[in-house]
Amino acid sequence: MRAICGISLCFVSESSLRAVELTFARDVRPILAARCDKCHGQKTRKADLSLVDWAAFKRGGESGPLIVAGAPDESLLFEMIHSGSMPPEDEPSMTAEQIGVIRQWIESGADLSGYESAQTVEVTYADIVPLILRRCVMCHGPEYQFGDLDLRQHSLMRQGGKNGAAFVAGKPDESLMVTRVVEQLCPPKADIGESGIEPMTTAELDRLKQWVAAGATPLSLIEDVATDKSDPLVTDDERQFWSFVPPRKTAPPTVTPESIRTEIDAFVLSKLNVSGVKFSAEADRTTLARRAAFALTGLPPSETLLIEFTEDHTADAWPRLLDRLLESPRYGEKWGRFWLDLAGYSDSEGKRNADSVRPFAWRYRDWVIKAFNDDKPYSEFLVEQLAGDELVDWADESSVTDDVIDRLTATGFLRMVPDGTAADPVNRFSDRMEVITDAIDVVSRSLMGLTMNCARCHTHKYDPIPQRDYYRMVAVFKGAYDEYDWMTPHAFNNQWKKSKQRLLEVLRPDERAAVKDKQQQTQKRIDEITAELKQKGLAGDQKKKLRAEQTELTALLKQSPKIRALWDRGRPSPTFLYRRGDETQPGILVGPGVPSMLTNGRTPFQPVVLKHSTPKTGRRLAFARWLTKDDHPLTARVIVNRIWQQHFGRGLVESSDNFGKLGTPPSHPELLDWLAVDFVEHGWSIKRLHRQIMTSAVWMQSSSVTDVHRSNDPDNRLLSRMPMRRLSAEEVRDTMLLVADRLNETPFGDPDAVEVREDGLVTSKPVDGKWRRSIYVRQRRKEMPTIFEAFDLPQMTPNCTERTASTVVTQSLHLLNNRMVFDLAQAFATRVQSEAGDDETGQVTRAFEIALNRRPSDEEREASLYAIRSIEQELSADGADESKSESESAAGDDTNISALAGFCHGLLNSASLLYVD
Amino acid sequence: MSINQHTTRRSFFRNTTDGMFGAALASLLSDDVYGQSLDSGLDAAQTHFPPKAKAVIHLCMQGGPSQVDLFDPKPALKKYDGGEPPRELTQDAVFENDRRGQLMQSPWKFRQHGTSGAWVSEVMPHIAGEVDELCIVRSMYNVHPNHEPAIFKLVSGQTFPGHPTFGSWISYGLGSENRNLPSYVVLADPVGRLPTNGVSNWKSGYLPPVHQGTRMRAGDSPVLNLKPDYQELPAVTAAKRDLISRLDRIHKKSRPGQQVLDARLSNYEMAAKMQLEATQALSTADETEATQKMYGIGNKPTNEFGQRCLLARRLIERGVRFVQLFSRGQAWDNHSNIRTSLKSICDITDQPVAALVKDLRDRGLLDSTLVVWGGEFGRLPMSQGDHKKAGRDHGPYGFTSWMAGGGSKAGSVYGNTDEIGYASVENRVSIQDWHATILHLLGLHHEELVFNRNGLGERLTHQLETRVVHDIIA
Repeated sequence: MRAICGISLCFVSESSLRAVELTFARDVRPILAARCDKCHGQKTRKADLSLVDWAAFKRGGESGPLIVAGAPDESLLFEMIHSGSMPPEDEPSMTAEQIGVIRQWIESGADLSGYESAQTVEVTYADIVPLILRRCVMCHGPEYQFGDLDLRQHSLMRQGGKNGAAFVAGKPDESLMVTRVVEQLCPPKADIGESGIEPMTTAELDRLKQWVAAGATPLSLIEDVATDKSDPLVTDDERQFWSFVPPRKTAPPTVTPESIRTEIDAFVLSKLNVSGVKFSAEADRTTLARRAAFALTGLPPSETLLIEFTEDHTADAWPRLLDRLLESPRYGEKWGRFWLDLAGYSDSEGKRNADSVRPFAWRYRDWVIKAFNDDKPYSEFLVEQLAGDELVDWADESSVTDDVIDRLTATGFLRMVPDGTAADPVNRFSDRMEVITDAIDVVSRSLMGLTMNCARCHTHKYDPIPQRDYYRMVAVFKGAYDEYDWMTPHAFNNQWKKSKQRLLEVLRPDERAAVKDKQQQTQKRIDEITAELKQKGLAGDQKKKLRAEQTELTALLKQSPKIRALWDRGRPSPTFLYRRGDETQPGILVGPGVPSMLTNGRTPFQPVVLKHSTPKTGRRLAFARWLTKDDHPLTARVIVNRIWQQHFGRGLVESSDNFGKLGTPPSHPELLDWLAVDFVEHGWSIKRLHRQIMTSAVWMQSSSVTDVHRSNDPDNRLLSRMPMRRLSAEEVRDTMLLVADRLNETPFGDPDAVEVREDGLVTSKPVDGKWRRSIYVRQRRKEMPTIFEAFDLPQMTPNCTERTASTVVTQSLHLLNNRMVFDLAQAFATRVQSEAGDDETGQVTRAFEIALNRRPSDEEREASLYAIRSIEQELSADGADESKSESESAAGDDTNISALAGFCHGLLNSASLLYVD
Repeated sequence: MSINQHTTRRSFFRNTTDGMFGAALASLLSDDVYGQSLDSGLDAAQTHFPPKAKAVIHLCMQGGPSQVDLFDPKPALKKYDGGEPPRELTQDAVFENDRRGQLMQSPWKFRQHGTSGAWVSEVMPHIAGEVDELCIVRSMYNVHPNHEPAIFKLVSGQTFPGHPTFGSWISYGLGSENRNLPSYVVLADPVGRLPTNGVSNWKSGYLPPVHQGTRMRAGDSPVLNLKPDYQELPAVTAAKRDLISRLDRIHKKSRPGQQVLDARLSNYEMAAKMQLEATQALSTADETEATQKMYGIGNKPTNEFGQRCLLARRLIERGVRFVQLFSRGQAWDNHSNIRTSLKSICDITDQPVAALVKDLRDRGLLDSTLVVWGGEFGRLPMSQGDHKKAGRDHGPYGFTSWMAGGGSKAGSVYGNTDEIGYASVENRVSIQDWHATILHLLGLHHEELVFNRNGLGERLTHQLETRVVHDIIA
């Protein structure tokens, strides 16, 4: 690049060229025609940019004007071609001469003569609307109309409030909407810090004055939406990319029948055969059972289950085992976590150091666990999470049922991203935009396998996603997520007292009555205490006790079950495309819609018309239904691939959240499509998909690596074996608890607290001497339990679509030296002793059975016994030194249990426990 | 490690499609089955171009050291003392309050020092003595006037948590020269509370957790979980480790070709080595009395900070890449009583910091070690509060930081604030410029040190306009 730059500088400095006056029509336009029109022409307008007519040229594209006359280095046109960003990388760069011509033309004033002359750009109503939205509507808009004034429409401005019309056409100095700002009365000083509204800038005020001076004329604003005409920004060619066309089911290839169990095997084996590799042998039954139990429940199998399976020699023993695991309530706890990663579940708001705790987030967590246990069809699962509030008329109090509450709770999916609008410094537009951006990022990557967030600032560089389509998505969510009509996540100190909260209190009629009753009782007791406190002669401690009770009850009074929901309010602000993603640079107005590349480009987006007791846009419901239609190109492929990835460690598409051009192409495209179509054909059932995958010969293979594997399928892309896998953070902790008999299996409800030690160690607190499963431990971003962090549970920013499985020294250090693990080893030893008695050989066998579902090999038994005996020796030598007076037998017991605990601690640290074959 | 090959942003993406880059990243993420490499993502790595520095010591002076009282003398403040700052100089202010107040001259005298003749106030006599090693940048600015966002910006380039801190980026880019110690060590105040923003000051965000800062302290267990958190005979611990090793070898024997199991075994060995090496690194018993005295160890105000400065040198000597020291709490946040409060934190840090620079030089380590000193912002030139007990409010619009060693331009002063020291006006240096320059000294190009996440190539300088400040590089 530096070379080109040098040449171009040389070039323009040549006197011969300086002498010649460059004109646009003669010198510049031909270069653009040859090099740019293909993508920025009349018909195709990439980045919403056309270079053929002068008006479009002056206006620029989605990133704004192209030229700053006289200043090539500040002109986007020059920047793009000079940096080599344009023409795109598959095209040759412009020649130094061409770059030189354009540079010199801009330098000498960018004269457009010979084309059409430039006109001064006037300020229009279209420029004023975003400005008013940004600065005024929080007090004069949908929620509040202070001074009886609403500024959202031209007619309302004209109508004005109790002090008269907002403007006097032609007279800015007499127009209230100008003078209030000039006199610094608006926004009110007291509100500036709290509301997030900042005063108009001088430039904005000038624009407003200019518009009023020019007559304050209205303009009908037309939203850019998909129509039945073809889309100039996305070509039909671009729609042909493999993942943008609906999946098609092709018949599985024919392969040698004996080695296959299911259709999946046929697809996989046909590829393996080409590389001269066979399936690995089937793993042994114990391995299979353990693998399946971890895969479906995140815990080792129970002994009964294992025995029944190993003794069941009927043909359907295996599917029966899978069914039993799928029916276990532990299934939802394991696979719910999979979904919570994608949603970015957290019990805190993030974004600020305070990281305030998010009340009631857990209700969404519980909803997810139940949905997995109930095997809710994936399509419904998505629709409820994306638009549950539009499915039910929740505002009609009399019709509230558990179903209604569930649907609202499901929308918690859209409320999981980090939210910085609930903390100091408060609620700025940029903070709100971050929330919206993250929510759309989660939806597009988790559900659609698209990196839409690239198109927030500019048209996607690789996929055909115009910036416009990103903002159409923004418009879909606008009925609920509106940066100009914002609701705070929950109550917090020094917030704008007028702002509304996004926690809903929706109760069944009977619940409502019960809560009311309870509250009346509480209030009654508070009143009694108040009266008692007024009596004279109360003892000090009595007073103290009453006051404490009073405080507690008052707090209780304020608590009532709420839902952290997202709901449409039926009054969306207009949606502007933000140039370069900057909310202070509004561009064109867009309406709701879906990515054009996933449609035929000639299908208007139609919000669902809802007749509920409160207004709703119906946009999200329409979006959710589009996303879950049977022939959607991405939805089924993406989820099938994710579940495959959970089982095999790698998706058929390795880049599981990027199905676009920069993603990895599928390793088995026909299999992916076959699974996706089959999934939809069978009611979007995830449990069925598990059964399908887990009954395949592919899944049931041994995980042993052979020389043939190493030479012909070294990284297992062809699936010639089952990959060995390290337990996840949650599985490590839950398994240790189960093995030590310290697992409390109470599901749901408020998350369990954590303890933060002064040196930074974070540990979950036990409930009645036991601990609940990891999914129920409070997930506060800044207080993640240390063991989770060590074993790769990442911070949700905004979510996690793929866990890593690192092998780092902190893991070993934690398992060796952490107090809780040590204590669990003691508990494990106590259990072993009570189940196996005092015989050391028996103890070792029993410990292996409990922790690893198998008996030790001779070698393992010997190593274990050796360890127990060495520890016993050390302990008795030490005991002999220090406490000779203690009774012999008691010391002997202690020594045995301590030695056994030492061995158990080793077993909890062993690779056999932490890795699943 | 192909991340360090000379790649442009474009070819980065192209390589990702090839899968080559993806594989390199994956091997950073997990010690997996790629070739013979069993490293933890921390093996010392190639740089983009020959580096000047190999390691960094970041002296993080949280709170906002007052530039006009330390390194940026403003005679005009004497002239206008008690007057309002001129409106045309306060254009950058975010809050109206930041434009108000009476200008206040510095209570301390400034003098030129060394052969470079740089000005330093009398409140930092020791650092003044080392001024010929310093590269003083007077034209820094930050984007937020509150501590929390400004500190996030200083450490991660963004004003909110979640992005990797620059120590993590450096660890990610350079790996470690000593496998038995973490590559990024934090020496926070051992007695007081955590610094503002807590552990977020050294988080690795979306980079692999191995690049997170590890908090160390002198004493029994220098690192979390490094030693048993329970009572046990050493011989028993040894027996347990022996058992784990035996069981794992038996397990591995029947699973040939599962390389992750080798990595696991070596981790248990490394855990033992780390215990030894970290304990040694964090004990200053073998330092001479003269050295200890130079750092102010044994004298009340300087004892504790002096200890930590000395530990920083010891860690650098052992191959740690990035050592981060935090001064006590928000000791530089001198809202009131600046005459005593600023003096007091200078008394605590001045001698140890100067000793660290001198000690590194004397041991031939200064050329390869970049020392970076500064806060999240500076202070306004106006007074705050009652004039007798006046302090100064946060001043993000212009402030001073300095570098020493590591290829920075010794004995130089770069950039300027306006006449009253309110805002940076000449050769302005943003936080991302500062980061890019530090990376440059380490042989890393800020646009090429990239981590692929969510379809975006994330980097320390984000998508912000950034320049490497070549004028402060020797």
